[in-house]
Amino acid sequence: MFEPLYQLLNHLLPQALAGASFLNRALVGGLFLAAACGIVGVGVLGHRMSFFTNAVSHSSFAGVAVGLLAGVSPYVGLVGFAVLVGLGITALRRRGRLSGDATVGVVFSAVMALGIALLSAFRGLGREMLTYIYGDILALTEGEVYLAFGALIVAVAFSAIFFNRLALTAVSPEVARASGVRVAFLEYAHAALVAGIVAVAIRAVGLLFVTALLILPAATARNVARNQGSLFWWSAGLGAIAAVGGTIVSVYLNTSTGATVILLGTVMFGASVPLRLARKARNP
Amino acid sequence: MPEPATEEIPAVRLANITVRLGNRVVLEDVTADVPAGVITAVIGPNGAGKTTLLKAILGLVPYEGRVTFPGFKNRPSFGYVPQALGVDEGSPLTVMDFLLLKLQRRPLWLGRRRSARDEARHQLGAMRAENLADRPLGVLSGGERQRVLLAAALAGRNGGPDILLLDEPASGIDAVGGELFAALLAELTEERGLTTVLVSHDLSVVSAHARRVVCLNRRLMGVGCASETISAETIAAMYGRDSSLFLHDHHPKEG
Repeated sequence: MFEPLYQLLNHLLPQALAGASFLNRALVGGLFLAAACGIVGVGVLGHRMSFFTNAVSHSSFAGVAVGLLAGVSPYVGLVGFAVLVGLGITALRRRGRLSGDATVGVVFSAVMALGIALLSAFRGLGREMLTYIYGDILALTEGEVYLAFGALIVAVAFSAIFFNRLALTAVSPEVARASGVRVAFLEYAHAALVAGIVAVAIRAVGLLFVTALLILPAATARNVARNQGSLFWWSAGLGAIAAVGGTIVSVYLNTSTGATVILLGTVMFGASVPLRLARKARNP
Repeated sequence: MPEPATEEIPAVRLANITVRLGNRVVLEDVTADVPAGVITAVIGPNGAGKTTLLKAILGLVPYEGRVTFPGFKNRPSFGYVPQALGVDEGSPLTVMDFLLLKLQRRPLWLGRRRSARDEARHQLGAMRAENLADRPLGVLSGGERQRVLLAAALAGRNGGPDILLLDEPASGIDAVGGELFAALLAELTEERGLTTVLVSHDLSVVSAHARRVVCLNRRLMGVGCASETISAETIAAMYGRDSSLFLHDHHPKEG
């Protein structure tokens, strides 16, 4: 299904590595995942959910452990647990007893501690966990490329339906509610989407870097986009460029692929800052 | 489309409204009618539950008691002007984008609908804010922002709102700007037959433009027409014994 895309991206690789199927999968799977993360990142920044994504990604310790101990795939445990954690944080935050970041902080600590406790109790789990800490985009299977494509489709479909309502809720939940938006439903649905995409992307870049894959493209896009509509395209595009570019650079420099993708994203963010300053000077 | 309410039948009826946040009672047993087609002001000290009352009308907070809309056959449509916005100056969200988020279903990344854009320009024009359409929402001054928020509150896919709720719309603008904004609001309320509920700290603005006043300090301290309700006794009950009433003149001096 993705053969034409494999062929296209092959041209960007050094001659000696052109045609290597693991690299094809890394480029195409990485492109799908990073574009999905870029799209979802727009809502994450708008709703100030960076810390939320960190908590969800770190819940993967417990998710993988629970998946393995329950005898199902660690991947299923990871995604399921992440979505549950995301919904749980949203429910606690909406009750309003603690501030938003304090709620996330409490859940972050609890799920991290649970994961470490399970890993220490069942020592055999540690080796499996390394895959999820650092990720390995070069080890993506054909099935995982399809999963990445599915994540992109879900992110685009969610944005097609909820983009305007999500942006309005970020500006003012009261205005959104007055306009007929079902704010509570939207917040839960958004939390589940972000958690699901984070969990799927962990396999490629690892839990340490996955937040950056959501935040960097969207933060860079805010500096270059001229309106809310173009923010979506910039964020998706910059995510895809960081993933494909970072993977190719890592092949040439023989560096960690996940880290190189994030470093390229950081360089793009740095390059966009002067544009923001210039716009600020025009709109003092 | 709901029929407009008449002044005799209240637009909003609040019956024994109590709101709790955790163990804290934010509003206690508030009963009041909001008449149709005029401005009703909600006044009270900080923490009196004024914003919570607006949120209860909107159904944004869980409450005990009943909120009904006797003047409307169906649930009325709302416009809301918030006190604060969750948008910073780095956000590329423009004023036009902000109005279109309400006015079109098509996601903004698939383009702007011409009819929605025309409606947005019309509402901005009515607020003398058309020139702000392409500016980022996060960089506007207090006065500009309030005009844009009012334009957005009045914009709707199925015509304008039946009920307009404003949460301290004049905070962040100077006294003269506040008076101009209140005068504009009074004009709009009359012209469009709106039912307007305004949370305000400025008793001079309230005296000049509100037909009805609801005084809150967690409980209902008084409700009625502005001239009778804003009395030294009510002020002392809401703000404390040492408070006194001083209505100042907002109008700019001539010459």
